[in-house]
Amino acid sequence: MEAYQGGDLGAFEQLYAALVDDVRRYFSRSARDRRALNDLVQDTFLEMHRSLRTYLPELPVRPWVFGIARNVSGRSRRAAWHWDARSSTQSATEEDLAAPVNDARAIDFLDIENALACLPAGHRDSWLLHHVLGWSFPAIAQHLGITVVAAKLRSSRATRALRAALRGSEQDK
Amino acid sequence: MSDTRVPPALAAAVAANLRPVRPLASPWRRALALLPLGIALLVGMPAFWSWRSHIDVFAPWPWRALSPLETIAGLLVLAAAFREAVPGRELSARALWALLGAAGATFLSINLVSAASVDVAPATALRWLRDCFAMAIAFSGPTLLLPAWLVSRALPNRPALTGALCGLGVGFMADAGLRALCWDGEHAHILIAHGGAIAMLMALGAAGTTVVERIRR
Repeated sequence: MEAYQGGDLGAFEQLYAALVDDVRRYFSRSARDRRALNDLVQDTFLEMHRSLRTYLPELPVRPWVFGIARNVSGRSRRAAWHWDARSSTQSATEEDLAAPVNDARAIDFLDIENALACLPAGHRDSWLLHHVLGWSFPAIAQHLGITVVAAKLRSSRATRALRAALRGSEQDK
Repeated sequence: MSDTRVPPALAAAVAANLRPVRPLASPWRRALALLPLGIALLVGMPAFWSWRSHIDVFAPWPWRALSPLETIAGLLVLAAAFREAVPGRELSARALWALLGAAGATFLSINLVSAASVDVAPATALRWLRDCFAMAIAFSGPTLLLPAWLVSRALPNRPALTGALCGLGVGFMADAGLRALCWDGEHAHILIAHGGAIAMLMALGAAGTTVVERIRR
């Protein structure tokens, strides 16, 4: 652990190998399916990396890692709850997630490129990976190191922002 | 036994910003770093009060002797809050109840020691009550930002509880300063104005830390 805090990637890999089964077992009851389980496990290790400074060297590693797992689990529950609440209040959410292919009409590609350039990088990546490259949200989440819910949200927000931007450019014309 | 190799995306994310980090100091050391803050509240509040209100009569000496004890109690509570903020180091239910019980007992025993009836008109008593409450919140509200920031550098699993403990610690330190200048020893005054300010700081700390954690994560 001290080697990992010193910036050694090999130490992280060793730590992952030693703990991943236990972390997976920890989430196995709460996760809905295998994909969600893998997301939670990866989120835990990613959060462990982000919170590396909170580990105090003289203490055992496992309670610290499971403390982080508890944090990730709580956050995931809250995110799922928010997502459900949002879905029930916004009927257009599914529509937002769908590719805006038929919406394009007379919008030219330069407008789309300009509108894409205005999006925050995280939102743009999620949107491009899903709508252009056809990736699934779990795959995007894994690639970007975020939760599936976050990937969906980013893509949805990007779609909404693009629509607004393109509507504006159409009116300008 | 499943695959124990690091998934490529995770390895890439970790490698992208892997650099040596300095571990956080122990909770006790971080709480001790706030000692100047405690001293500032202990000395600053009476000084500001006497400057603003042109008064030179403070609380009786024996009461003031209790103030440093209260500052130390505040630092101990802050240390517990910093410990609570570290994953895997959360306080057990028993430790938490012991801490809250000790904090309550400290506050009540100091209250009992400095109890003295004051014969003033109800309007004056009400004004003193408002003054003490406002003074404690005005001084310790901004002060609460520092421990809240220290807490947010860790990863609290129970942000509301961690923030409430921060509020309790800062509230104790503020009450130490307040006690040195307040000569109203009525139980009602101490419980409502001084205790109420501590409760308000706990609520502010809980709300603030929860909001910060929601935004950060």
